[in-house]
Amino acid sequence: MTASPSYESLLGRRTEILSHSVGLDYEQFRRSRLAWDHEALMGAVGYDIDEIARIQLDNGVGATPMREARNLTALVRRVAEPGSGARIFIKDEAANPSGSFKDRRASLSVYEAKQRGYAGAVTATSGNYGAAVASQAARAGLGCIVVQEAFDSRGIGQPEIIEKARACEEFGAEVIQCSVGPELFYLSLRLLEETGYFNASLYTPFSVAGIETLGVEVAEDIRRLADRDPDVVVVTHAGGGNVTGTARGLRKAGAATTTVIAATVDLRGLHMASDHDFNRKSFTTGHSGFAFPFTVRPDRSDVPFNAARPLRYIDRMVIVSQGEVFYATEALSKLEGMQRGPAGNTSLAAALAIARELPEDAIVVVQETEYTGAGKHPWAQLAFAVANGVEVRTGSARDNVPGAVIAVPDDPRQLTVEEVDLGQVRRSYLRQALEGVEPEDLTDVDLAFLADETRLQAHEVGELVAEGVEPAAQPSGAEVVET
Amino acid sequence: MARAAGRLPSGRWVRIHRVELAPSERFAGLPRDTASVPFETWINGWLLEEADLGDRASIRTATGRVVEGELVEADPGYDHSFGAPPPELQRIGQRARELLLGNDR
Repeated sequence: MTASPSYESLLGRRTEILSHSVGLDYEQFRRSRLAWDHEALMGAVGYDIDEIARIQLDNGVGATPMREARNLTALVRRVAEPGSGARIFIKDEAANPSGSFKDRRASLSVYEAKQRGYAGAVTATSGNYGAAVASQAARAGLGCIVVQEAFDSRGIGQPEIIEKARACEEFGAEVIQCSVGPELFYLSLRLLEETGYFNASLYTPFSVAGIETLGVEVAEDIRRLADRDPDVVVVTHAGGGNVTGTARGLRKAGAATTTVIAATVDLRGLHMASDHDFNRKSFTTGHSGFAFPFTVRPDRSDVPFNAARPLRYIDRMVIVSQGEVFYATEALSKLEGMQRGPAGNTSLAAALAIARELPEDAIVVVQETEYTGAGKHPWAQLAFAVANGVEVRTGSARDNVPGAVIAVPDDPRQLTVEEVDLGQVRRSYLRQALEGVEPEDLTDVDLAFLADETRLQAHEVGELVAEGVEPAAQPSGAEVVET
Repeated sequence: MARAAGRLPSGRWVRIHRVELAPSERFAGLPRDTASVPFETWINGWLLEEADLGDRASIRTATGRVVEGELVEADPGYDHSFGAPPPELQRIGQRARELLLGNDR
């Protein structure tokens, strides 16, 4: 390797490197200083939903089983008011080649990389997505580099992340394991420039369009099994791609009345760039440390315009605790005979609480599962938490203190969801978007864009802007990379 | 971590460690704990020329890149596991079954 270019010089070439590495001129989508055309960006994928499904099936991805979780439904009804307790269905995405729905995102990205003549793909992720890109790249005969945030400064890594590294190596990828910090983004840029590989970012239109087939399948599966549309689809929410792609797929399938609920794990109070906090969380994805920044400021990512726009698609957003997700994971094993997750069971934990409040004839879909393995397992993760000074005990969500206490419920009545005030989230979004912008400079094109982004009317955006949204707190570091 | 005695031959699967950025070179605005330590990486690959642990050495990675760093491990593998069953989890299945069977009262 030649001498490393400095930050400043690399960041100066950022847009050029990113555009070349995705094969898209992002500026063509810009409509004004603030506005750009999301649908046009998604259209740049160039395949319709049926073609995407064909590409995925050709690569062993998708058409996963939809299972009705009858015992979990029965359990919920035991603790629900008479007549309440919705039917719970689970889309078993662990059946994909590398064990998660991330294969859908990776398959289209890697297919595109191959079509466009790239020799390989680079991705920055500590999660299932790395294994998914590595798996698809192996199939396509492309090189693959996975950059992981893996260790704290003591060289200690969470067992879940170590397992992901193993899976990536299994599929033939080069794995670069990093210490904690956003400089991982700088390293990825450097690698993109050095190798000329495709940027298999989680936030390209290819990655998000690849999830749309999941939304379509969810609608079609439920129509086949229950002869109706799902009332609620619960989606584990971190970087926003899952909720964006799933909701878009549901719309494409015509499931217009389905409510999309984004569920995220409570890690509030832990700093995502903190070396000390790094090993005090038991979840490396699906958590609030990504969900909030990516919902209020999606373009703080590793592409010029992020195709994942969660606020455009979320009907309701809820928070669950790490302990509740461990409960859901255990209940899924013991009652349904399915060993999955844990992190991917965030939506299941929320679904158990949500189903309890809904009528018996309603249908709640948990739209993904993920594989379980050594390290990526509740025993390993709780043992690691204890070894890192976190107390583990029986209790309800309110007993959880992220980074200090994991309270695991032992009764389904203790399962709850905490509602996120989407009005507040929309304000936060606007605060971020309007940073450094004078309200009088806003054009109609800007206002229409902000209205689409926040699902508000243009006049409501205008009123909020006129009221004055307080200046945003300056976030530390540079880009956040979902792990 | 597996440690190998003696000089490692070229072609051996090894692990190198690199300091990518010293604390003074890191992004501005990091939390103090992160800012005070270097940004480091660890990469596995095949050793290009024989070397001892602790030496500067070059490897060829799975994608064919040649990368130099401190040689820290031979035959880097994985020993992550499952561990012991936490009692907090064991209660869940039992309690759920009791509820389902209706003999919880």
